[in-house]
Amino acid sequence: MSGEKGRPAFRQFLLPAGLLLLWEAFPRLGWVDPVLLPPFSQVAGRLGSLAFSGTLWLHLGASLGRVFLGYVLAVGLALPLGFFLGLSERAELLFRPLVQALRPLAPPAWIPLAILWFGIGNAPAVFIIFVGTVSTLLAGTISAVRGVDRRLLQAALTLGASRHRAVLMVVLPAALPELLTLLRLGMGLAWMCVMAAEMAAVSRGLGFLILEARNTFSTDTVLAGMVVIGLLGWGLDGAWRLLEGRLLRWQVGRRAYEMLGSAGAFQGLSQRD
Amino acid sequence: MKCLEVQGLSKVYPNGTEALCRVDLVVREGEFVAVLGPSGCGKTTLLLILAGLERPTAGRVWFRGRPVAGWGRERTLIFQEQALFPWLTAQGNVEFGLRMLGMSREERRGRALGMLRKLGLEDFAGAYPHQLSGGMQQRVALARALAVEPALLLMDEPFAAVDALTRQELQEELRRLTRDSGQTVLLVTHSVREALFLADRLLLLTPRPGRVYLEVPLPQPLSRTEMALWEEKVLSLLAGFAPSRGKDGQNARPCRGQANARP
Repeated sequence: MSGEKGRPAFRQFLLPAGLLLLWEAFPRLGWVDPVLLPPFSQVAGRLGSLAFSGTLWLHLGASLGRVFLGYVLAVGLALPLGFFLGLSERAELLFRPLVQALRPLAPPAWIPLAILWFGIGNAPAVFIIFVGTVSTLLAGTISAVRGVDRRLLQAALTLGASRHRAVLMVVLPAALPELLTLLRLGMGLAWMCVMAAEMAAVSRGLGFLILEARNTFSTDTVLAGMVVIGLLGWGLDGAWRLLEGRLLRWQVGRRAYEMLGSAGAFQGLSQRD
Repeated sequence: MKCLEVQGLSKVYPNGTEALCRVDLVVREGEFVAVLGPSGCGKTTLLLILAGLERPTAGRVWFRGRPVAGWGRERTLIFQEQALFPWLTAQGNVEFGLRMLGMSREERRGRALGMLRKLGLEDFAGAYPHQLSGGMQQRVALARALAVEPALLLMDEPFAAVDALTRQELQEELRRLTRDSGQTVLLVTHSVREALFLADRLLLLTPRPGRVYLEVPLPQPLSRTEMALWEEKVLSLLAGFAPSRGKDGQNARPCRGQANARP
């Protein structure tokens, strides 16, 4: 494992670079209509001018703010409630129909109601992000809590832990790996929701930027907006992984993929025992 | 003095499984008692009830003269395997119970390291459970449990998952540690040898639903020849249970509505 430290970072750029090359080549060679798919360099130029004029930051800021607010509200409700429901079967049965019925409602399905209730602006968008993520986060938290080995709890209780300390100091860390994955996926979900919301009910934001550009047939701006969303998703994911790596340092050397990943890893395996 | 007293303890699970049937037993202070029985005779259930983690269907448990109403560090459990907190180092695991007591960081550290040293783990204080072998993990579990100085140590086949050599080492260590401090222990095991090596008294349980079939006081320490004789005797007693089993492996003798006869 030690010899590969530098490589993965470099490796994750390989595939995007290849795809960008194709994206540049296809319209330039006339294989696709440049009006429908402008070459990458043109989109990059457009992105540059959007950034330079400040338009991009205005929309980006608006989107980020909404995502942040909606996501924080959803997490703030789903985590504590999910812990409670995960630990209490009776309460969970009470909530189960509600959670499971709300889950399949795709975020766009909430748009009409959100506009009727909250009008136009930030409120309906935040609402859509909230309802679009909260039930998934809730269901995931419940299952993470349920997945904790009862022996850990039994050990903690017979070592003198009170009920609530056992929840905080045993159930929480034991469920943490699953919770962090859930929170990371939830963030992606929140981003999808904000796009849907912004195409309907706002006058600012990346979703709005993209929709506006379509109306003026400015394909390069559409693509520039999408590139920003993609880059942002990548960045957030990377930041989150960094955090996960920090919090879950105790897991290093414990996971299956670490030994299956590459030929060199099998040497590491044989060295261990 | 009685540390633990159990009277008429029965446990029937909601699905109808009868785990225990009118178990009576006494554990005196400083005594090492081994409960011996075939797999699935309700030994684990017994321990969970004694720890206060499960409620019996019928019967009573007294701990130091008081009815057991819940769990606490005075009755600490050690499991067969994998009950260490994987996010804590060996030292962190041992410190857990001390932290619950509200002990200061310095004091905790000193106690935990001392405990680890007693078990020969001083070099592994910073290792996470998955970096330790099965035997070392059980040592840490033992250190973690002894660190809170429980009045009664409840052990659920603690060495069943380690290899034979390590098991012997661990048994010797456990004997040394508990004899030195006069630690009261209730050990559940299916290994006759382990029980004979460690215990002052043996309780034989029948197959499910488990009930105490026989009590055997042991004159410790047993010599090698005595041990072999006892082993033969206990094994033949255990073998005597076999005919009483029904076709489907269930016990043919129902628990309810029968006198608690003892041979």
